[in-house]
Amino acid sequence: MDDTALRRLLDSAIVGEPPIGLIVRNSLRAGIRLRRRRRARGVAGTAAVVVIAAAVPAVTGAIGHTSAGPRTGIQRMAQIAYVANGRADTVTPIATATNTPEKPIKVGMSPGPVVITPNGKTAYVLDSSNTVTPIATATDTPGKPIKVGDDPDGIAITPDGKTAYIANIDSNTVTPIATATNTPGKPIMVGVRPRVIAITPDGKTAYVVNQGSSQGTVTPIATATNIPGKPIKVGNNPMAIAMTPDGKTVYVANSGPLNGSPSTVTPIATATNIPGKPIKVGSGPWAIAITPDGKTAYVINFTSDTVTPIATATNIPGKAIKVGKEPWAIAITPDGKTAYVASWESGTVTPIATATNTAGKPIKVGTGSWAIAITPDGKTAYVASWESGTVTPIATATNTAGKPIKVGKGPDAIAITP
Amino acid sequence: MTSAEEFVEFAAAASPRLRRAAFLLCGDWHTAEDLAQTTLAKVFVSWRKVSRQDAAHAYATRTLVNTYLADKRLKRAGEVITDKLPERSVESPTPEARIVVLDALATLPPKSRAVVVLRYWADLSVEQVADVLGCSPGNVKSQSARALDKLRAVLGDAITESGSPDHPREERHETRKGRHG
Repeated sequence: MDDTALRRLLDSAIVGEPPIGLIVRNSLRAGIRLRRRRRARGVAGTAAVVVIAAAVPAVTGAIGHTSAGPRTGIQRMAQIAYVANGRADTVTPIATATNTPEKPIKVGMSPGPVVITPNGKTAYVLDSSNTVTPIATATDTPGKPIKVGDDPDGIAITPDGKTAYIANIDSNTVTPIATATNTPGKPIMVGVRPRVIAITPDGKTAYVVNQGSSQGTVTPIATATNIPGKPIKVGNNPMAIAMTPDGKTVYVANSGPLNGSPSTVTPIATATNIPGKPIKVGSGPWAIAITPDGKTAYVINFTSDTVTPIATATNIPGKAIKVGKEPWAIAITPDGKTAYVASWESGTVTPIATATNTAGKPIKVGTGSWAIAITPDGKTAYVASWESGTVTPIATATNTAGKPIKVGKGPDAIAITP
Repeated sequence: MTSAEEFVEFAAAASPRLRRAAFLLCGDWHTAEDLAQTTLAKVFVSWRKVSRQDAAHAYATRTLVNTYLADKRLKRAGEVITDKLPERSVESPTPEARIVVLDALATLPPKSRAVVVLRYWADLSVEQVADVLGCSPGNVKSQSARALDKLRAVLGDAITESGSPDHPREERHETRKGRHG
C-alpha cells in the first residue's frame, strides 16, 4: 500500500462531517476564558487584546472571506483563472494579468470540475462532499454549498446562464440548479453512471452521457421541462462529449476497455437523436475538443498517446497525431489555429497546428498534467499539474512556458472567466 | 484588523482541517469537535507569539496532537488495542470503508495513530512530524513502518475489495477525474 492509497483510504473515512457551526466563536470564547485563568495563576501571558463583544460573526457552512475586497484596477480588467485543488479542498484564483495566485477559497472536499457562467459572475465547483459551491467571482466569496446527488462528476451551464446541470454518478440522476437562486431542482432520472453533459447552443437540449456497465447511452433532456427523452445507444464506456458550435452534431467518445485495442467515437445528429456510424479512432479515447469553425473534432487517445482529427463534414478520421505520453486534456485557441494537448507522464504540452494537423515541439510543464484552459484573448494557455501543485502559463504566440505558479495541492481542474 | 479578528480568520480557515485530523484520531465527530475547539482556544492564548500564518498552522497541529496524547479521556472510550478488527454486528455484514478504516486506526497505539495521521493524511514530512511529537526523525520512520505493517495486515482485505488503484493515473481509468472516493 503506497502513500497515495493510504491517504485516499484515510480521506474515505472522513464522512458524515457536520457543518462547521460555531466552533470558531466557541474557540474564541474558550480562549479568552483560558487566558484569564492563566493570568490569574500568574502564567506569563501576552499583551492585552481587545475583547470581542457580541459581534463575532457566526461562521456556518461555507466560510466567506471578509478581508478581501472586490478586485480593482488591472486585475478586474483581465480574466481570472480558477484552479480547483483536489487535495487541498480549495480553489486558487489566478489573476491572469500578472500570473499571480490569490488567496485560496475554501470549498468542499476534493474539488473537481469548475465551470463559469457565461456572464462570468459565478464559478461553480463540484466536490466529493456531494455538493456544488458557487463562488461569486467579483469578490471570490464562496456561497452556501448546494446539495446535489451522489458523486457529482459533470457540469454544464445553459448558454443563457440560467440553469446548471450536474451529473451524479452514483444516483443515476442529473440535478438542475437555478443559478439565480442557487437552489437545486427535482433530480432528473437518466441512465446508469451519468458522467458528462453537453448543451445545445439554443439551450433547448442537454445531452447526458451515461457510462453504463457495458453499453453506454446518451440521455437527451428537454431543458424547458427537464423531462428526459429516450436513451440513445452509443459504444462501450463512453466518457466524453463535445458539441459542434452550430449545435447540429454531438460527438461521444467511447473509451472502450482501455486494453490497447482501438475504439470509436459516435456522432449523433441532434435534429433526430439518431446515432451515426461509429468513427474509428485510437485506443482509450478520453476527451474531445472541436474547433470554433466546427470543421474538426480532435479526439485524445489516452492509451495510444495520439490525437485523432475527425473532419466533421464527412466524419472521416484523419491520420493519428503523436503527442506526449498519456495525453489527458485538450484546449483549442479561440482563433482555432492551435490545439494544446497536455500529457501526464511526459510532463509536456504538445501544440498541434490545426491547419496541417502536425505536432510542434513539446513544451515542458509539470508532470501529472490533466487540465488545460486558454484565456479568451487566446494569448495564454494555463496547464494544471497535479503532481507538482503548480499551474504553468504558456505564451501561445511563442509556445514557451513561463514560470510555474504555485497553487494548492493536486490541482485538478481549471476554468477561466469569459 | 485587530489581533482577535486575525485569530478568527485563522480559526475559520484551520478548523475544518483540525477537526478532520481530530476525527481520525478520536473516531467520532463530537469528540473531534471538542478537541479542535480546545486546540484553537490554546492557539488563541498564544496568538501574539504565533500569529505569523505559517507558524500558526504548525502550532495548531502540534497543539492538537499533544492535547490528544496527553488527555486520557480523548482517546476512544473503552478502546482496547488488539491485533484484529472488532466483530461487526450482523446488520452490517459489509462494513463501510469508513468504519473499517477507523477501526484499523484504533488498533494502533495513540502515538502511532498520530504518526499515521500526520504523515499520511496531513502530509507532513518526517522532520515536521518529529518536530510535532518531540522525538527523533529516526523514531518517526520506525513508528511509521510498524504502523503501516499493522494497517496493511488489518486493511489488506478492505483494500483489495475496494479495488482502489495505486496511482492516480490508474484511478483516472475508472473515473473521469482522479478524485477521492
